[in-house]
Amino acid sequence: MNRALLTRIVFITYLLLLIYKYFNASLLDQQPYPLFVYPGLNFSYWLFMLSGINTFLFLHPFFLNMINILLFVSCIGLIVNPKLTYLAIVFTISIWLYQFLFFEIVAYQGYAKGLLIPCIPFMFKKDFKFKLSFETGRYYLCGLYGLAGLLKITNGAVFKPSHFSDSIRTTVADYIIQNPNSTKTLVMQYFINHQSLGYSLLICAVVLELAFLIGFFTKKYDKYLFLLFFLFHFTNSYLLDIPFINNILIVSLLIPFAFNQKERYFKFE
Amino acid sequence: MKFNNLFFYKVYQQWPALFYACCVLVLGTLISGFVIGQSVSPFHVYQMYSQPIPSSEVGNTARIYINNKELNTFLIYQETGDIIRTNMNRLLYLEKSGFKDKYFYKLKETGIGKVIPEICYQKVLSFKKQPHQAYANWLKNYLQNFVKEDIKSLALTNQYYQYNKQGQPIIVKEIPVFKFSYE
Repeated sequence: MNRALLTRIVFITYLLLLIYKYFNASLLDQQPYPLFVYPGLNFSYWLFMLSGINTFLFLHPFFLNMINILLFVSCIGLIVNPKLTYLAIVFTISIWLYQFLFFEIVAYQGYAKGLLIPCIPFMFKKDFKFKLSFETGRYYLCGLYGLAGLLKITNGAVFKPSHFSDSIRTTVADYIIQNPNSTKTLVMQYFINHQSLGYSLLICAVVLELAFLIGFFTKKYDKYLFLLFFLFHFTNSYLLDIPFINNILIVSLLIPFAFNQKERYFKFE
Repeated sequence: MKFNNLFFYKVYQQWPALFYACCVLVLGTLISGFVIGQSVSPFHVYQMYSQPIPSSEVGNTARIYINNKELNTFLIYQETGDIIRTNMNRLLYLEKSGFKDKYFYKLKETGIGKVIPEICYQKVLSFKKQPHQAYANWLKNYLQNFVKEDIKSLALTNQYYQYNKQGQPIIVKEIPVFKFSYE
């Protein structure tokens, strides 16, 4: 149980995700030239667009194929030999390119931190840099979810009893219209019509998100945070139809601390 | 708690560059979240559903018909369905807004917006309108990978819905956007 195992866990998960994307036809070479962009306030993405790299790559499928090949080869290479940290550099560059191009394919900027962040620590050859960056990633995860809970309080969502019902109403109308008889639709409609139950669930979600702030003070409860992560996202996925496959990898930043192995995960021996 | 044992003190001692990067990240994230109120890359916040959503009974969505039969985009692979829905809803949004992104107007009114070069507004936040045939061809080529039957006709409509008292969205109006034959 060491850095090699942790590398393999993370990159096997990446590989499974890439295979899932292949079957979803959402790898770069499986897409026609994108119709739209959704720049949002992503200023790094604005620079990417202004550079013209996105247009160049989409017009030259050879390079899109290269990015796909590099993703798979570097991922498999790291699973076979976790000490090849240069492959992690290749993978990180490739996955960031992939995701920035995918923003254009999907015409939306979905949450991609789960895909982009976990591979970064593996780029560092020195064990102390790997450890420090990995643990920084853990604090980033705790901060991301803790801040989400705080924002629901400071922005007022938690003080509106109908908020959860309104969220379902706005988000899943499409799903309900196209699937009027599914079990998921019946559950969604139940929460639309029972605001107080929806409000209780909202409060639970806020408490769950705030629980991640405990991670700033102790690592004792990381295994519970690990489970809460999945509970939160499964519930979101079921009731609000929000996919979390791309986000799943970010929870790998809790693995060493959740399973109590601590220092041994950060060295190859 | 001893100061020396704090993780970020150890980062400061052993890897100052990472420490300073963390300081910038923390400050930027807090400003994004509590001052600006949304993610401003690279300072990302999960602010979805943090603001009260107006209690709205009405809305609209894109609907696709293949060979005069409605396509259920939730019965194909999830990411594929997402790609189709978001692109078609983006088309409806841009047609309504004169092919300008909402930030084209929102940013220009702010102090930061006046500093952003005009090239960003022209190249990043506004989009060239193409003939509907181009959008239909894109959709047909993409869908043909997932639909068993040959696509002989393809139509897109803008469906307006309203929730009834039972919490069911009912279609109140459907406006055609385009329809093309491929025979």
